[in-house]
Amino acid sequence: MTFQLGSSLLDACVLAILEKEDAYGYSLTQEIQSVMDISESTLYPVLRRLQKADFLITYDQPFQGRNRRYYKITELGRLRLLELQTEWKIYKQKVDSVLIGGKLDG
Amino acid sequence: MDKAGYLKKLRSKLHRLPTYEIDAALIYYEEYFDEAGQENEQDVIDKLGPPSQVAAQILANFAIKDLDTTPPSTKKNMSAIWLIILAILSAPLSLPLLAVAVALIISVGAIVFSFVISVIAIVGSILFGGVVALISGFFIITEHWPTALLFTGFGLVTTGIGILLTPATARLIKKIGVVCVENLAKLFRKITRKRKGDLQ
Repeated sequence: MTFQLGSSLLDACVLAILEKEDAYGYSLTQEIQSVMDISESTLYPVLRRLQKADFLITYDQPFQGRNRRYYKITELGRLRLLELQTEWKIYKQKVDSVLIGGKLDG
Repeated sequence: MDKAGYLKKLRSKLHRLPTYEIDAALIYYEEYFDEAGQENEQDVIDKLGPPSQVAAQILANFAIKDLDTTPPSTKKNMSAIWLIILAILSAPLSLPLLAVAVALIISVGAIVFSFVISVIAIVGSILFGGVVALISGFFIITEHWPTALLFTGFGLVTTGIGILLTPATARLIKKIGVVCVENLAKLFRKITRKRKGDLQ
């Protein structure tokens, strides 16, 4: 991918995926990798950071004789996601207005 | 390298972090390997990159400060004392508290300094006395040999004691230095932490 994926954008993507359903590290990485080019080791620090900010919590669930650590979005995380979505819309419009020649409406 | 080797390497690269952080990271990556399946172990290792790189990404998320990896030394102590004094001067302390802190450090410093000097003086005079007795023993050997023998013997014993005491004294002084710096650092942390508590 030509454009760099900043940490806030990555935060937003992770929170958006978790808002749909709880997920574990591997599945999250795969899902984000299906649309964006991130390295396999990118996600752990992001998840840990979001967890420390109380945007998500973890719980363990047994799976085939071992544990899977699921990540679940919190209420605070949902609020943060809304915030990021709003900011993204504004940002996207601004970039589009320059890049695509669209108009800044609002 | 296999999964176990990879995780072990990762753990060692993270050793500066608190244990719970290391454990959390290792649980994550162990699970990651398990999810990918045993047959894809090598593939996962290739995709993750070297353990040092994975560790660097984790470490970058933590501001690692105050982690002394080198053993204490006199030179380091001196620079540590300076750093602490500078830190105290730059900390947002009230003037009276600052004055108390500085006065305390100066007076404790003076006590330690005089103690060190007196220890050096005692050991020094034992050595000096021994050498002088030894030399005088040689000078009077022609006049009165029993006295000369007494002086020489006394001189040898005292010089020996002095030589034996010297490394112990050096060790003691070094130890005093280390203890002083550690306590100074503790004191400083206490002062600043209290200030933070006041502000909240």
